[in-house]
Amino acid sequence: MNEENLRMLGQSARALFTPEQLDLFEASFEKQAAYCRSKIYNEEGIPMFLVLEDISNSKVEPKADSAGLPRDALFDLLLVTAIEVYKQQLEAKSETIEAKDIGLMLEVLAEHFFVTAQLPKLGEPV
Amino acid sequence: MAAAKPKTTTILPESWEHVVRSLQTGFLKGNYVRVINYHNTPKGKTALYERQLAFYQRYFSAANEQDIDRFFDTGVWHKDKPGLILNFFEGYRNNFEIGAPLAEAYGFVGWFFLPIGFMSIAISEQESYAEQNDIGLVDDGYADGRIAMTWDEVRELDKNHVIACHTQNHQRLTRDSSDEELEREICLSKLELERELGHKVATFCWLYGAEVGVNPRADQYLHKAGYKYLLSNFKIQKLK
Repeated sequence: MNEENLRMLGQSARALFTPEQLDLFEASFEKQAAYCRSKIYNEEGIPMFLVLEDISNSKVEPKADSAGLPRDALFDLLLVTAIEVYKQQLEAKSETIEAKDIGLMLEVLAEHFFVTAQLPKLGEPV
Repeated sequence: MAAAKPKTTTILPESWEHVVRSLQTGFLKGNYVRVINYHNTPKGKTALYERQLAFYQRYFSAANEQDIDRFFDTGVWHKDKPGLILNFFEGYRNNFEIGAPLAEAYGFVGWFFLPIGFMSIAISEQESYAEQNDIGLVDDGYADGRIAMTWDEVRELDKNHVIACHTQNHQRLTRDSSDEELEREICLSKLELERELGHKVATFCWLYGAEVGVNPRADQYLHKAGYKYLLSNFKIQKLK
């Protein structure tokens, strides 16, 4: 998927939420971001997501028929959407976004979505 | 006038927008894992760590390098609960004494990222070494003053956990890091770690977690050294 398609996907995925829910989501980002900034990195375990990226020359297409944990495509899409909302939050506050801001986004993402069992149902305020 | 202290942040390999899009691409494909990043694990926080790990145990399964290999190869997580990596950075003695036993008690695998020089230095010099090389300290109250793991402790961890290289001297990558630095921090550190462990080491991580693309010369050294994985702030990149 190219960058433009991904941008459109991120934006259109916002349609999963009502404006009121997005407001709550954005307010929640601020709250969680403040919480994450208050953590003592030297002593606390910090939950994060890490993306797996194969940049090897021997890159092979994953075997789709492999047995394992079924993918939750809707949850994955929710993560993409959440990043889009966070990104727009950061852009609204600062012209320059640095690596630490991206790290903060992933920390907030983890605070919200680390455990899928805690996920709100779509259509419910987050 | 004293030299300005280097800015302590990660350098991105490309525009931040592009980095964010690459992360979204990974999430959309389901190519991600969860991690907990630890530095010091002081004894005084044991109850807190234990409570958190008991919680994580309910929802997640351990992930070692072979599990990550398989995830890359198949695109499918093969256990019944999503994988969780416990990262322990800097090779603290308290990681061996507190972090590792707790990880084992709750069925997880720790990935221990060691700045090799810290393990090898005399006990009397460890504190000043830590201060000079951006290794944060806590007051553990160790009477003998030792704050780094010993190599015997590293070898003990190696039986059940992942041991990874975190440079020679806890260095950050810059765009103009010299070849001498890159050789020492990427290649020689790996050789020393492998000599101590008696087997190959697959994973590397910079201080502040730079990813591939920040410095093409560094990328060449990563390949020359033969690393399979680069763990960065946002990604696990498979190099070979």
